[in-house]
Amino acid sequence: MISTLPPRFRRRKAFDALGRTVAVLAVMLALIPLGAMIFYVLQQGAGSLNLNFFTADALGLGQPGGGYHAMIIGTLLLIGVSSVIGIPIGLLSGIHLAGRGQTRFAQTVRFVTDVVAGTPSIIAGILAFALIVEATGSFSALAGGVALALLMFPTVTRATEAAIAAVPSEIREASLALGASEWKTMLRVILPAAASGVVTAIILGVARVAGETAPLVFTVGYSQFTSTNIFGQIGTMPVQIWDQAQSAYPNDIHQAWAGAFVLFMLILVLNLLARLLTYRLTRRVQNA
Amino acid sequence: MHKNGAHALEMTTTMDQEQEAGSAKAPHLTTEFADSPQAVDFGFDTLAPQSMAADDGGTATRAADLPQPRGEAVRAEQVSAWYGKKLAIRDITITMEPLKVTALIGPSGCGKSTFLRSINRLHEVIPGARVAGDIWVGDENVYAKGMDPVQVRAHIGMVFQRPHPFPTMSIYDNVASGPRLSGKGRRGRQLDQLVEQSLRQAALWDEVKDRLKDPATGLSGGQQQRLCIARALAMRPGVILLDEPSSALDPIASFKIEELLLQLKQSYTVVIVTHNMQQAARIADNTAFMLSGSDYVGELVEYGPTTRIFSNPSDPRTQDYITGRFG
Repeated sequence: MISTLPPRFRRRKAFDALGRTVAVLAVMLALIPLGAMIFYVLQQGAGSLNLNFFTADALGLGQPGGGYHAMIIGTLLLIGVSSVIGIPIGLLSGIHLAGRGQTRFAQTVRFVTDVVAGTPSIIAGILAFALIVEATGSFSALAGGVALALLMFPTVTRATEAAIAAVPSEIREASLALGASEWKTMLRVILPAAASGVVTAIILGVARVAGETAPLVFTVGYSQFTSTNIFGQIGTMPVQIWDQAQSAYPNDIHQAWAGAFVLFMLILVLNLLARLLTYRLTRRVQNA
Repeated sequence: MHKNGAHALEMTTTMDQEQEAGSAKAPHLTTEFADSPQAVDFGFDTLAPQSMAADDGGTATRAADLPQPRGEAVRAEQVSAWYGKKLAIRDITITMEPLKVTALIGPSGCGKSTFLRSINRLHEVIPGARVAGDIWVGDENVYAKGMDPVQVRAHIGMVFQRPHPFPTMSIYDNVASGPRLSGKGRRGRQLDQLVEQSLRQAALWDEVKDRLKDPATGLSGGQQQRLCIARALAMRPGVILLDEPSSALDPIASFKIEELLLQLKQSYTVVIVTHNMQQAARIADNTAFMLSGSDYVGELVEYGPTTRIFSNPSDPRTQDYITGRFG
């Protein structure tokens, strides 16, 4: 009796199998570009990927040899500058939105944040150009950092807000009921409980800007030599890739591929790091 | 300070005539506070030196080790509460006796929890929520002008329906969190003693004394709820509010909480919201029945000694509820 299925059950099972197949195919379709990109970029740039690539400063277009040392350091410096500006603003805004989310002011901030998040990144570059490059009279890592911070903070804000909102409201109320002020409740109870989400928010914000090119074209200038002066011009990976990719010399084009591969890996690692930290911190909180 | 005594007298008159035990305890409360010139200070530091001194006598040997009684009367007058524009409870006037268990019963949505959260001014942390009326805890009106809600909450303990220990903190840190977060921090040995004493009072010490540094989230549900009670007790509150503290627990864990509450009323005023009428009948000295009418606004229907409310209620709606005709 149990083994003989009526027709409508059979139809249901067939439909179920079809649904699964379509879902698996869709996932594979989404994964193919990722795999293809890694493979193709690596294949094109592999010839230029050697120790020299990581340790040598850049040479002029057309000259064989040279590396990305100046650009890697430049990009890291830029990430540092934009993080110092963008993360505190994003974190504090996120905390405010999570705590006072219903006020007219908070609604406005949320709207503005969303608008900024959707703004083409080149606009951030133009703004930083007008505000800093024109005012100081020179391209600089600082100007680039400001442009990237502008792009970074909406991501951090909204992700922080979401992480804090995910903490059960009873936790907050339990702390308030003990006679803790709102500020201490946030700082000592809610933020630690939301730590994994907040860390993820920060890393996603960094990953968002690490590969940006357009805002840098207006702001950081160029340097083929390694520099850590935030008021001076710097070389960065995205801009160097952009420059070299337009070169007429095959050597430059292969270096651009290699640079693209390293940048891609940097962002991939940042995302994986976010995943790992989220996992570990979440486990610490739940500890179940 | 004699205002306390006045309240105690008033209480015996506002309460049903049948009750008499309250007045026996009330003078004790008055003398207790008269000894301390700073008793009106809402900080728990005022009485702490005494309880700490008692500690040194040998905490380890005494099981219950309750501090000096410091339960205070809670007197609500014409308390109404809103969520935005919606009125949730209307004109609740009730006096809850010190060192007694008072149960608030009634069907879902009758405003029991709202009223409970009005007592420690937690209702108002919800955006748009507000309270009108006065609530005296001891001889202070927590809704007086200029009263700091943070101080009020530090003085009144609260335990919620589902146990929510702070997830990133150890068992020890959870109990110590109140003194630390409210800026009334003790350190070192004094804090150790306070934590131990609070865990003993919450009947949890023996189960956790060897793993105080472990995460609190590793405890069972019933243990977590007792930890939350210990966390509230560490503030040395005058009143403990419990919002259905055992409804998320199994019967055995629930029974332990009930036993604990009967212990705690020797030192604290206990107010408990419960859906469980048997629970109210078992542990409450006095029971208040709340109900919302056709306008969905909760009101106090009847209040008196538990035995009378359950055996001979004067309001037919109370009768209907306790006999299970609705709710």
